Amino acid sequence: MGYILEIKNLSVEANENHLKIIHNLSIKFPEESVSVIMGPNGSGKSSLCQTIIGNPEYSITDDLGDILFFNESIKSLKVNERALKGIFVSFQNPVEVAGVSIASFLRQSYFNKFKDKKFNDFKEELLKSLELLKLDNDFITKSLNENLSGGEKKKSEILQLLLLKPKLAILDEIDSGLDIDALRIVSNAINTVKNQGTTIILVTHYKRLTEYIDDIQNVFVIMDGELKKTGDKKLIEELEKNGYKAINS
Amino acid sequence: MGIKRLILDRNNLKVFKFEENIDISLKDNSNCSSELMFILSNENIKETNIHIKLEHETNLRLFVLVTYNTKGRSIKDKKNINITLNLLHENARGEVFLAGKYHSNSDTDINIVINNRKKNTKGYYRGINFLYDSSHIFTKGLINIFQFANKSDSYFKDNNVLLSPKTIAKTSPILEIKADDVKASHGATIGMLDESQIFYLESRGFERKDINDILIDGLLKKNFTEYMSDELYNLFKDNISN
Repeated sequence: MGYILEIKNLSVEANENHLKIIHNLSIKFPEESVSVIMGPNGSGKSSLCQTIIGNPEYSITDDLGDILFFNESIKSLKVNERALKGIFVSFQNPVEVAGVSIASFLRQSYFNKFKDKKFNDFKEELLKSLELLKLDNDFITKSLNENLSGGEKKKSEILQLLLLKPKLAILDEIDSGLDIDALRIVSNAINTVKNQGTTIILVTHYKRLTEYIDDIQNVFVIMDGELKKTGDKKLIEELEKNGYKAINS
Repeated sequence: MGIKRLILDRNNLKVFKFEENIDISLKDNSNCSSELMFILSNENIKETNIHIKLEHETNLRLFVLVTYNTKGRSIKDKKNINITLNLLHENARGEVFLAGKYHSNSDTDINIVINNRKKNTKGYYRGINFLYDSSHIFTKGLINIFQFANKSDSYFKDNNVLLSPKTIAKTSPILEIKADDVKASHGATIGMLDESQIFYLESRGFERKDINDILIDGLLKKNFTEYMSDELYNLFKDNISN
């Protein structure tokens, strides 16, 4: 099996202050795998996620740097083109969109992607997904991310993931703001998506999420915008025990 | 130009395509609650004047939809839309909701005057304007709370969404308060669609033109939906969306 995503010699800066955040980073993510990116605060993990989906607040600074999705460069594609190719990035703090109900947003996103599906297909999948996330049916009448708790926002992201069935899901700190029960529910949903064939990249600070996710193959540690260490699930234990400082020493 | 007079004395909703001058009166102690909707769509009319007089225990909601069909054509004259809400007697309550869509080089002045003349009167203005191409708009809102109009409550809220870099929106709220123990406030926003919302929707596969429609619909809903029926809201939405 090949690689679904390849980060090649990627250097990134924030447009706002021209601060260099990622330095010549190269990582390969195998298709239909689960990988974890870990690193301390400010190490460039979220900036990497945002660069992959094409956030205009970030620029790739080196022409040789590239992002390959199924061996094709996506760095010149628009954000929505990357999404429609099958890349889903969950947001740490999803933006509130007042007046747009979750239901209408989900319906439109679903039919943008699955043009041949019928309304009943959407309804069936939506109800199944709400049940999996233990959300009331009323949840989808709320405005998108508006006045939702931190946990509900994360569930809203996962609800979108379940319906859109991307080829690659990059979940940026999906565990932050979740209590123990919600963490289990969200992890269960991630495992469901994984079992349907979606490649998962988890971005997290903590071990606790990784305890609930099956079949983690690769762990990448990013610090100061550089790849510092690669390993398997045992590396998470090592980090939990010794902290990130031990990686540098 | 003649003045049309409309006297309301029972609960009703009326929808008018009206362009020039109209006087609306809700009669004393009629205890009626009326909803009126005006659609301003004739680009040849330079000035529209709406005068509202509310007497004892009357309650009016006025919805104004501005949709001059000027897309793709140059406009010569400035337009004026003047709405005066006179709260003449105690316990009169008037609410004005205005949504507008402006194209090409149209130049529109909107003047809103709320006169709280007697105590315990309530007057509210809530507007949202969507500006395209190189359109200009200037909205002035004056709340006059007269002497002895104690316990009055009024506000002026004006929102302007710039959908092209060449558009200009100005807004000027003024409060003149000559009575004690009143509530009066104003608020205004001028800005483009939120880039972070656009990016979020793009990341879920939406095209930019669809995103504009979704966010415009969201702003309309946020501002108006709790005040109007689904039927009226859909009329607004169908006219404001592209």
